[in-house]
Amino acid sequence: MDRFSLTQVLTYAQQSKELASIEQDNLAKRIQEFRTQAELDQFVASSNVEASTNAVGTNGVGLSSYKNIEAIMHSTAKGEVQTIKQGYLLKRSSSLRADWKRRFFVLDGHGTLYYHRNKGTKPAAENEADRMDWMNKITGVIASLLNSHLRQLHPGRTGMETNNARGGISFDVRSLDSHENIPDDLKVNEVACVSSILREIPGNDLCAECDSPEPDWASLNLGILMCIECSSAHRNLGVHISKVHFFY
Amino acid sequence: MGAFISRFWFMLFPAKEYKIVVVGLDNAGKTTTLYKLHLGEVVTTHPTVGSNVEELVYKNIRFEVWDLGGQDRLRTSWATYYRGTHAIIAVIDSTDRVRIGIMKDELFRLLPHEDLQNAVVVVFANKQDLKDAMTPAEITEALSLHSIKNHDWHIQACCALTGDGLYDGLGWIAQRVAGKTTS
Repeated sequence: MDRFSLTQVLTYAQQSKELASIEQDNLAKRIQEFRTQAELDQFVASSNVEASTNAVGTNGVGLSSYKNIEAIMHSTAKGEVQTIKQGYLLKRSSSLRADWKRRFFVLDGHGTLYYHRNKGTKPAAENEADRMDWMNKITGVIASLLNSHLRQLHPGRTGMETNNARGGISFDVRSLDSHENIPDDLKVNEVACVSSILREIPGNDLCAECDSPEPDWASLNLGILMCIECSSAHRNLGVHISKVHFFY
Repeated sequence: MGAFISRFWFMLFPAKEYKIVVVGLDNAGKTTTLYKLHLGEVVTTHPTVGSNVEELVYKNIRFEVWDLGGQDRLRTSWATYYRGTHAIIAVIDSTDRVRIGIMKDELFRLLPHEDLQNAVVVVFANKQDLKDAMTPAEITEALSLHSIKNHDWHIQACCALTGDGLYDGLGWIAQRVAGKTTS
């Protein structure tokens, strides 16, 4: 009898311990989210790029800063080059050892991301919010570059701008949806032309992750092509991080 | 002896099995949905080339669930799986506003198929955990589900990662297909 109740007590204790640890994990996660959000807000407030989009907030990757990046890219086209973001990032070296090195990167209004080999050793803010900010800006630039490609092909199209407000980047093939009146074969053509744009980008003849030839899966928001194996890794990250589609 | 009894039992009460076909575009979550229902856990999936098939038991009803590959070059082979199908599950990536029109075309291409005349349709509006997801109402509109006249249909918001809504959709199928045979 005694023994029986003892085991019961033991299982009960273990259960409540597990529950407590789960709760603690959840709490820690929430604290981390909150902290990231706070840091992000600070970024938004301090950076001139996003001064006007405070209200929009940061709902997902690259949604809020997209329009402003578009604006900067436009002003760059007129002659003045602006820096969108700069700071320290890790770069995987192309040598055999393939280790990660800290480099000072600059992302400018032409949409080029380049780094300086030696530029001080200033400690950089490397945290979750900084990472999200980088991701926002880089995906924003990718989307804007791909959109400008599309615009060159279809100069008459104005659907892009109105649709961007709905949030989401992935270089808005979605504006096709709003054109209910355009015939279906034209839609197919546009999807095909998007894939040909992706295919023509230098470096997209190989899988972006493992360098295997003839990749046939695309990440639409990152603008890269992948082989089937690497695409499954990207798919498992979730569609909010990498929007993987089979490549037409 | 036990084998004999079970054989006798199945002779008296034949276990009816219903066939479900899971369709949808690539990366919609078909395989994840299937294995969440089957194993109750999220498996690491790879793009399906061909198909997966599993047997589920829900409310004492057995389902044979076929999960088909969604890449566009595989969609042409969907029709070979339709024979004897009782229910179609169409899994939608609710965040993919771009290709919902393609999914609509695929859906209305498969519905008139002669093997699917008695099949019921459940649309799983998957990935509802993401912020940018379309609501079931928006998806109903985008797929113009209201124009389906010859099939029973139902739309179900779900999230295959958490399992929310999956059993509600399966329950609807169970209710419909089991009800049909008794009537």
